[in-house]
Amino acid sequence: MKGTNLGELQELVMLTVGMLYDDAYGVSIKDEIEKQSGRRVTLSTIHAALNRLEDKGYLNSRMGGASEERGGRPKRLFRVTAYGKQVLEESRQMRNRMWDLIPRIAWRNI
Amino acid sequence: MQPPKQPPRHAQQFLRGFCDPDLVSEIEGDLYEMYRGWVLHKGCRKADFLYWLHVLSFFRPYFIAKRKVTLHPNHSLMIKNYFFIAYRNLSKHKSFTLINISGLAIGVTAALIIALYAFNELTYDRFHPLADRIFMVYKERITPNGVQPTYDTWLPLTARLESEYPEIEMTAHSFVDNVRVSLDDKQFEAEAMFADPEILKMFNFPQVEGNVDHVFSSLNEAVITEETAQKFFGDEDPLGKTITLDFALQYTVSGVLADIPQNSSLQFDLVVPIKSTPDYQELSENWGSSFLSSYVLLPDASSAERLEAKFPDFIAQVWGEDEPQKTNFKLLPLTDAYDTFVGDSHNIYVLLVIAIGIILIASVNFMNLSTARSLERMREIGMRKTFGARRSQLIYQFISEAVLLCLASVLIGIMLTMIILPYFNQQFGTALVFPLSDIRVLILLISFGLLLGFFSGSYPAFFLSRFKIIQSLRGKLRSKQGGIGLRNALVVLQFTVSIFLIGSALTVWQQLSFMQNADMAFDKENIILMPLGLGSFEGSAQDSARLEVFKTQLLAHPDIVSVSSSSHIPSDWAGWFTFVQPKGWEGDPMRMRYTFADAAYFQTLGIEIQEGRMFHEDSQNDRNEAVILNEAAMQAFGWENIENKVIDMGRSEYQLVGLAEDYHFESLRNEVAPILHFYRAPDNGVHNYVTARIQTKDYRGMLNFLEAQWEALNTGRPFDFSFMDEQVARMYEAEDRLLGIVTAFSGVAIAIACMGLLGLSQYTLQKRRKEIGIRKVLGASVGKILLMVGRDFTLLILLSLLIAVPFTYWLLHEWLQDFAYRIEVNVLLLAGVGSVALFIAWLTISFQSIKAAQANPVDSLRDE
Repeated sequence: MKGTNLGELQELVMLTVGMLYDDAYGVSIKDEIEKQSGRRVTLSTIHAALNRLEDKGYLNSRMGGASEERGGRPKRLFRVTAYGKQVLEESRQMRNRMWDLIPRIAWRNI
Repeated sequence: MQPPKQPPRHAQQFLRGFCDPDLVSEIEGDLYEMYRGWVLHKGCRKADFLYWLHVLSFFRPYFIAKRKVTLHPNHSLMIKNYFFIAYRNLSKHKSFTLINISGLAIGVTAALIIALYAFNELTYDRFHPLADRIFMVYKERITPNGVQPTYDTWLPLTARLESEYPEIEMTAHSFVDNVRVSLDDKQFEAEAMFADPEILKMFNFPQVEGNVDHVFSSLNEAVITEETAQKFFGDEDPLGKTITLDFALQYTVSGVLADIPQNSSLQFDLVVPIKSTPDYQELSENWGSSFLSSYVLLPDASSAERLEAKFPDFIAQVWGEDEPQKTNFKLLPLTDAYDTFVGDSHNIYVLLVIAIGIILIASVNFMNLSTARSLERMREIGMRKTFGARRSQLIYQFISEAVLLCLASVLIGIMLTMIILPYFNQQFGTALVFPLSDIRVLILLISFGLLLGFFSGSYPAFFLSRFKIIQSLRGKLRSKQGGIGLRNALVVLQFTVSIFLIGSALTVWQQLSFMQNADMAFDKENIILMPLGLGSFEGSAQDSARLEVFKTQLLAHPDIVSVSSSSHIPSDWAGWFTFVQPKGWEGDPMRMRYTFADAAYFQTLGIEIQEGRMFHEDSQNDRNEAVILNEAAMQAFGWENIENKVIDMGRSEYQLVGLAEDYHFESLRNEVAPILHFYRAPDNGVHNYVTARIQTKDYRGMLNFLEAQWEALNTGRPFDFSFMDEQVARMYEAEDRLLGIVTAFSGVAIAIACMGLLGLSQYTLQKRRKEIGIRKVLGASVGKILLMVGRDFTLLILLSLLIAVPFTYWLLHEWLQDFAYRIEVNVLLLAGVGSVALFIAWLTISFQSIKAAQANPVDSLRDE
């Protein structure tokens, strides 16, 4: 469990990479997270998270084409790896399991 | 179409500068994309700003490129090796090592001693935790000639201040007096502080036994210092013992204080409650008699000014509406007590500058000597380089040698300091301790050694390792290499400092002997003084009669010419002042010193009466109505002669009967002040000294006689005496101490300067070896070669002389301005000092030069 532990932001980043499928790179991930969660993150935070996730093997990347709008610099496009998908699913299952274990009485009188 | 706006260039450069190169291009891409958006929506300025902000947000550990640090596997081994080689090199050249280490060690010792002395003086009274908030209340007399501060205050002052001003947190007053302490069978003299118990709460004098809150719970308790306890009771437990002060007041010892630090401006042997003194009640409402020091504790230092502003009202309330025009109340921070009562912190900063100068000169010498020495090692360097030594390794090598030497010097310096310190303390009356147990001091000193070693070693290290292998193997340098200008400048500096110090020492000595041998306008030879003091006789009723008996007995001795008793004597002139005016004078009264003397005073001391007469013995008129002025007082009154002159002292009038010559009753630092002499007061308690003029060289016999007479009087006070000339010399203690310190450091400076010269000549001769060899082959004599080498140094020393003489002249001239009676700075003397410096320098370099000149030219020329 410990080895696959995901930070909240990291999970968010991975989910976003999955959503964006073939167009997941720094700026698009940042914009999408801001759009979905309404919270502001800095580009450097996204980059740091992406690199760490790739180091762990949850994401892989390839260099995309350079475009004029990026001043001639390439994009690095990310994809979730099979291992990453498994980690995400584990995380989701763990949540579901825990949700199921909450007795109904716990939700009363809240 | 206009090219799109580009992100700020510097920001991009910065990003590329620190960022991991694997990541930089995509980050730049992302940033560029966002930048385009910002330019469109927010404008160029804002976009640039945001770009910068984002670049900066990438400046964090994850993105910063890791620099590869490669450490040679043998590195740590090599460091050990450097030190090993350093050790071998140093022990191979013992004389060089000795000169270098001892030069630095002497410098370190001198600087350490000065630093300890300065630290001690600059931390006067700072050991009290509340020192910053304690203020002494003092008064300023406003006179037409300016304000005169006096520090004695009145008994009711502190209580009144405390009730009047709630911001005052605590008050205390005290006065210190010399008392007779009697135990069961023994008697001692001691300095007693009469004070409130608050004084021990306000000031922190650590207690060894007893408790601050409990001592003085009753009026017959006393607190003594450890030293006093040892003196009184030996090893017995002092607590609960009874002591008697001045035959009247009995106290039980209830507490013991640690010995009072030397750098405390309050000094005493024991403390007793001020309320236990018999006339306390009578004085507690007396605003006329001022004799004690008053202290207040304020919430913070800044409230002092606000409180001072309220004092004029207070003065008006106590003394009346007119008084604020004549008197100010001021607050003296305890931390300024040093400058006010003890010394002058300017002198200390000057000493610190000298210490830094000495250290600087010593380190520079160190560099010179190391450089000179390392030149001889050019071949070694060449060989090492040939075998593949890298430049950095050579640098390490030289620096480790320097560090080793410096650490050794610092350690020797510490040891020397500890050896010398007791002598220094004895010589200068200080109580300095080297705080070796304080780990911070050790760390400081050792890091100083490391740092000094690093800097001193770095010059030869970087300078010598720079040469190409061929150059170093040939052992030849281009002539202008090696910072000749810098080294020459340093020699000039060293000799300037030395000439300055020696010149100062001689001038201070001249001024001191001028003052000690000056005509004081009274006779200081063959005069014996015996202090009396208020407590010498048990009762006051027969004082007068008993004193007369004593004086008559002395006069009966054939070798005693004259005997007098007086309240003051020249050299011990306590600050008694009174307000007087010529009769009929309209202006404000003048503040003048006064003294009581008997009829024989002028005759005994050999003071000339210029006009009129001395007092008449047994003249009832003189007793109440006569005054004798000195010339300064005549001038102050504006009188030309003594005919029919009367002075007015408020309640009484005095007829001027005589005019005494201006005799120097104080140090020649001050101009002779006006004084009034009154004939013996009705109560003999004011006479503090008996003075006897003798006409024999048999001092031992005379003192035995005096002591026998004294014992016969049975005063209960041990016989005490001093000779007037010794007493006069004691007035110049401060000058004497300055002379001692400056002399010691002139010696150090000249020694270090000579070592520098030795290094420099060694260096120069080393470089001119071949030239000397060629000259010898062509027939130059040893003398000629000596002259050739000596010429350069002579020029340098003449240059130092040119700088040092005017500077020294100016500084000493300023110093002498403090003395009312002074010598002039002797320029010839300064020039003489210069010649001595030149002579010593010649001596130093001759040794080296003769060795070089006598060498066989074959040795220096054969490798060409």
